[in-house]
Amino acid sequence: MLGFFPLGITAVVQWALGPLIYPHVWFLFYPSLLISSWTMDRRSGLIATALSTGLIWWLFVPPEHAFVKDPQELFAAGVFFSTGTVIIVFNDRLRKTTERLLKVIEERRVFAALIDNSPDFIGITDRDGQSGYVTPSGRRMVGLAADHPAENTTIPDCYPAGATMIVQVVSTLKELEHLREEWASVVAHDLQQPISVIVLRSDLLLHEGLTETQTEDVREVRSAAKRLSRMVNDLMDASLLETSRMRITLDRLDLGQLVRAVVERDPDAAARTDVRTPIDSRLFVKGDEQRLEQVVTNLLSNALKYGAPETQIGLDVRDAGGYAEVLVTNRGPGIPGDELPFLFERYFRSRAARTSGTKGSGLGLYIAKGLVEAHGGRIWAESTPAETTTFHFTVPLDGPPMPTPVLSSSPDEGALQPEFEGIQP
Amino acid sequence: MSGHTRILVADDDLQLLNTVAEALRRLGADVVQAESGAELIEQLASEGPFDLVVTDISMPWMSGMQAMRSVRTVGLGMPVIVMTALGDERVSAQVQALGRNAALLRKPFELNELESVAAMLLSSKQPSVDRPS
Repeated sequence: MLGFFPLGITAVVQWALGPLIYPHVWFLFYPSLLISSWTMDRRSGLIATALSTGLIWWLFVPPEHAFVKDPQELFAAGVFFSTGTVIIVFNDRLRKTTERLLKVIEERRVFAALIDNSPDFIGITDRDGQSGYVTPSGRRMVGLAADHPAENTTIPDCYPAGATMIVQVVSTLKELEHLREEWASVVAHDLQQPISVIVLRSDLLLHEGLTETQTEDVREVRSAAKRLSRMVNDLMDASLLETSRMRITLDRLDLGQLVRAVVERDPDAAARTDVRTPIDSRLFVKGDEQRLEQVVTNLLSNALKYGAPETQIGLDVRDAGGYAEVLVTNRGPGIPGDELPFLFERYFRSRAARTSGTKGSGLGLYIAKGLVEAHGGRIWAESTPAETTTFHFTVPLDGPPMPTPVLSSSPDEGALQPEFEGIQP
Repeated sequence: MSGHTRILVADDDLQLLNTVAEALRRLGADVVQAESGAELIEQLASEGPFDLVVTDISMPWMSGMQAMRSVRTVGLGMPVIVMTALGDERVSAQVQALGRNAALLRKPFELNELESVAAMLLSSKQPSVDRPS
């Protein structure tokens, strides 16, 4: 409504001036319409224009206080109305553009504040690649005063024109990462101390002539402590893998022999596992004995846990062209297709694992994957529900497969004996 | 293990030190305790000789490994069991460097493991490191 005010005042002024202004009755209303239009949107502006046209027509165009005038006056009224309309429309557009522009300027100010307060070097080169905008911390990084004009910083020649460059200072991050690593290993180390006390003291108690119930109780305590220790080890391994600190010592290993050794170490596994290695050759791989045993142990214990009871587990070692492949197969309910892609993810536990009551940290396969990949191999699983599930992993071969020494009766240590030179490939 | 078997046990975790010492005593050994690498050396000097040393690695003042390296340097070649909860792969190589009569026990270990490793080292009690002649 404020917009109608200048028009009203003009009407009063013109009425007061009376004959002085005659016959230029329209002129004073042009500037007042211009002023009014600043505060009005398009609709009220048009109404105001129409009202002022009617008011001037009625009050000031002679003969006053009558609608019927000289037809020549109609032309002046038409010019006033159309000019008013144009002023209103343009001013409306101008106001909207200004508002948008102010908003953009404000946004730019916020972004500039964000970028300027970034601890990183952020630089934007101009078209010729010679200079551009650089953040205050960026200017400090390249040894320029903080008040050096941001737009005139010379960018290194190697940098392409019209591009953005971000340089992050990572020393703080590295320091935090280092602290995290240290913390993880200290925690893992310190947790094993009390666990060791529990295991040893339980063993001592078991030699004290306990009753059957007491013996059972102590065994449970001991088994829980051992499980806790395995979980701490898993967390430690996961932490080592994640921070790329897992050390793999590569030796020349007979993979078939390694797999057999793992199976023979556990009487339960030995009774249920059929190990099949190539009859006529031995597969030597480049691997870390302890870590590869850990992978085989993990896959084998999963097969024993989740395979149907009393069924045999297949453990095959075969040549897969440049790689040795190990397959661990069990019969049983299997793994649903929707779970297969997530098996090797951290803390993933399948529905079967969660409902079976079998305890686990959800880290076993995640660690196995990390270890196999650290060897330059690959691990994956295939499953036909209600039939078989097979876990595969590969490790690079160390040279071509070696023929098995047929005549040897003693378990040899891996190196080929000279008398078999004749049947080498 | 007879009562004449003298064993020196070192660990900075008192609870674990007492437990390992108690386990070895019940296995029939005569046990002396130390709470740091420095004390291990002191006890070796004042209470020695020992038939076996059982030591932790991470200890204040001097680690078990540093202490044992010093012990080997002065020419003492008694068997040693190194106990550790460290996941570090380099540990086994360091233990091997202490000689053939050195063994690594990863914590937590069972009474059986401690007993069999100790018995094995005590039965083949021959110093394998070079003693200064």
